[in-house]
Amino acid sequence: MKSKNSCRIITGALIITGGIITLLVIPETPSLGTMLLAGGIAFLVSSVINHRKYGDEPDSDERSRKIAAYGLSRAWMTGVLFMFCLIWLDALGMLRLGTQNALVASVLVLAFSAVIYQAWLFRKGDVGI
Amino acid sequence: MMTTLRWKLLIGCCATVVGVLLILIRDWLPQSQKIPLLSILLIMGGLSYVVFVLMKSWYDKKSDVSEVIEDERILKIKAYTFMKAFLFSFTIVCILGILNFSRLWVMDARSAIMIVIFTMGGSSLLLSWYYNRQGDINGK
Repeated sequence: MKSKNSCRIITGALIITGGIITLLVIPETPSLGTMLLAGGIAFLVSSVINHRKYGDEPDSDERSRKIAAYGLSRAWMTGVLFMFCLIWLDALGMLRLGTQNALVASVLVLAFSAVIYQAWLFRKGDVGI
Repeated sequence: MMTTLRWKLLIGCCATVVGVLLILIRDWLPQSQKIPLLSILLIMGGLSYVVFVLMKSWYDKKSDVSEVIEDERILKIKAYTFMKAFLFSFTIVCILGILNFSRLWVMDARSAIMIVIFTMGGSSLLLSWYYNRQGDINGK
């Protein structure tokens, strides 16, 4: 197994253990333990799938790394624009968001824009400069 | 196909036009007393962007440096800088979300967004400085 995958599996197992301990020790805040559990399971499952799919062969080449970098850099720009829009809408009193809603919206915009840009660039085949 | 310069000019002009339109229809919109401020921001932003793009294009044409500046190495450094900044900022947003969700650190929305904006900007500046100092992205 590649060291990257084994590191991820160990991290996922540790996060799951942390989540279980949190649930047992602090039962009054189950949300924190649940989030840790979900994150750990996601880590574990993704690394197991990656290992089953690629094994010891390299899972990325120069082109896919370039596409990933360009996709994420465009998602960064989208995220910055979105944050500026949020802060201006809040300052002008046109949109009043709670902290949790603002953070969830930020996570969703960052994650979805990254996935959409990368899917679009992979579909295109290469990064046109 | 439209060139990048035309796209940039179109974006600047659209922002300006939206700003002007908002002023014209402000009486039909909610929060009408705050519309002029938003319109002025859009108009100023759009016009500044158009002027900036035109001046950069004029400077590039005059000094013929565009080919030298935007080479493969610099584009790669830019892409990797923003990629790492994105990953770092995403982690910070997730940590802030967990802290706020579990009531370990209660903050208001504006503070949270400002923290994220400064994290995004600061991390990209630091990484850009680091990679430019390093010279190239090798084996990452």
